[in-house]
Amino acid sequence: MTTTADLIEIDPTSLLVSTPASCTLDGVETALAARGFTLGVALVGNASSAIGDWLAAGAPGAPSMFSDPADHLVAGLVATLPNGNKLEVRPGPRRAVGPDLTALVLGTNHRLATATHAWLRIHRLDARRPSMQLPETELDPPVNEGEAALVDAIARELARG
Amino acid sequence: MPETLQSLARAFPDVRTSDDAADRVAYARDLWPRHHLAVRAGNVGAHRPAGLVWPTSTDEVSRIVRWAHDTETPVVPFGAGSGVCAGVLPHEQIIVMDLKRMSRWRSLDERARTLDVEAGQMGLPLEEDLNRRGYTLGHFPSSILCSTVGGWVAARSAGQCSGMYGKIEDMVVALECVTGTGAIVKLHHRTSGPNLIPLVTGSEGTLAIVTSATLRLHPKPVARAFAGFSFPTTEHGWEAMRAMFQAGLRPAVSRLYDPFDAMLARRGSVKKGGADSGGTPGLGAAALRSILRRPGAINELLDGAFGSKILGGSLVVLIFEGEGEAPQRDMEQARALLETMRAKYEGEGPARKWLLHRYSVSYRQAPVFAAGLFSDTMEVAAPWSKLRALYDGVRRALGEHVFVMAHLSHAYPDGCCIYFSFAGTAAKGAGVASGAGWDERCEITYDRAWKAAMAAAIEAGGTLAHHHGVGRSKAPRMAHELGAGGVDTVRALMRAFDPKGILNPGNLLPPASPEPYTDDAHPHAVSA
Repeated sequence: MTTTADLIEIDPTSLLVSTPASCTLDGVETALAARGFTLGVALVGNASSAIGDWLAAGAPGAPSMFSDPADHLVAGLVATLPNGNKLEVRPGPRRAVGPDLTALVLGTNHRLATATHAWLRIHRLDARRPSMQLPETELDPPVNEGEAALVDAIARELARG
Repeated sequence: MPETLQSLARAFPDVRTSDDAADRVAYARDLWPRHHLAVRAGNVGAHRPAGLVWPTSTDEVSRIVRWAHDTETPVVPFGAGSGVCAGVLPHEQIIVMDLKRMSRWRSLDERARTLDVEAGQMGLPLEEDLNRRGYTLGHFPSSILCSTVGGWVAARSAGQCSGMYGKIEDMVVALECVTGTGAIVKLHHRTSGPNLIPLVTGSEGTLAIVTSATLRLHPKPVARAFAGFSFPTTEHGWEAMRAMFQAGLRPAVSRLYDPFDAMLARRGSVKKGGADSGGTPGLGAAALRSILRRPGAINELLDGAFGSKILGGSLVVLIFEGEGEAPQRDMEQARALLETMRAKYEGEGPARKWLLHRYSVSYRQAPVFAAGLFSDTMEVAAPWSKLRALYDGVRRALGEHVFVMAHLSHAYPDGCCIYFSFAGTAAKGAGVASGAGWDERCEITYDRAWKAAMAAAIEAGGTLAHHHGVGRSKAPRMAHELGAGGVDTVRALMRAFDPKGILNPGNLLPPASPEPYTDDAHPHAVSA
């Protein structure tokens, strides 16, 4: 029987895990823990979520990107677009090669793209996690009219063959 | 007056415009080094836009873009022109929109510690004004004297303190922008819902014109700790940087110089400079010309173990900053870690010296071009596990054509950016047409070096750009960077944001023609 441990691949040099999006969060976390690593996210109410669904929901339980700006959660991914085409964002620490296409997956609830594979940051179990103190601020305001119109337009264009 | 600008001026009599010959020449390019060769060859008049427009409000930007949309007039947004990838390369039908008259602070929210600032705000005055109020943005690109907030966002800029504060994309809480239809849209950072900010950030003026950004601020640091460490080789140095970042240490500044770059820093042979090399070798023109005659042999000699030994090894410069004792505590932890990795402590001097001259790199390029040579930089990035292949591959590819050195100044827990600096001279021999002029032959060397290096970066699993962006210089390789699916996706985004394709057309993605460059260095008479 194939287990999550068989499906994921750890890059211990870069501290990345390559995982199919169908694996569950707790499955990946358990497999990582056996090797001395963790995703470093809070598994509260989302442990049985598939990685793909978890990313589509905006990765709840992950630390704010502003708390450690040098770090990030998603290093790369493979996704399927609404028109069925494949999108691949190769793993990398940072890039400046146009729009960050991972935004089509994160928090979009599968509307713009669906992850099939992801490269995620992992941490050694005993590692210190830096965290900047953040003042209270609204980081999840409702989607406004202009944003909604753009999301509609993007979805429409991505659906074209 | 070109017809396009006449039409614009008639439509917006209250907005400042210009078709002055000098203005059009000044806005005909950014700081793409290849274009310097064209200028040196006397071809300063190419790529002049139809004219310039200086809006003073988002409403004016919106109205102008609506006009451009209706008349199908291409528009290129312009910050301070410090881009180095030909993100600005207009033609006679294009209007260049300079945003620098939009530089107001709209709101400073001290409770949330955010600042909403207009896109045309220049970098250094912004940071200085923040400092006076007890804050820092934490963004210090080498171009800070000649770049704007909008330009930073458009190009996915990185600053010298990225190890602690991140890149510009890590600082943006909200963006106001104008799409290709003239619609004004406010984009918000969001986790449980669509976050469109990362799509506009780095889109280099092709999706929307950024008119303001709400940026996260930090308390101005009150304490700093400095140190320099030498290592036997460059690889020893980057292994130390990896260990620090993966141990949870976040130096604001962590810069690793290869042995040649480190030697320049140690000997202080860079005019007015410190250890902040990154632009060009700080050598005299005669010495450079001599080196550049046989770049392959010199590169091989200096990059090997022999080179490391005679040059004194690599150098890491570290600065921690923050409040109270924290920076010193972090430095002590870093030092303890690094000294288990063959580091030799070199005192505070190299780091203090670097800080003193942190922006002097911007002034080193002109003398190289004045000497009849050329120089440029290439900043690639990869996960740590691919860094060796990336370093060797790109260094070798560049090194066949130009003299090359490297430093690593943007590290993360999962990978790092390598910043190659190179200098070259005119090509000769096979593939060079008889009678070709000096600058034309320099262009040949330049193109050969870039094409080989970009191919090597992709082959090694790296990304083509960490913070300079794509422009027109790297666009021909974007299919290799993004894959066919990625290119199609960016095109879909362009259609969604800008249905008529009027925003900076020709930028970012490969053109229909496979030829990456136009022949620019051939001298042409300048006409008004």
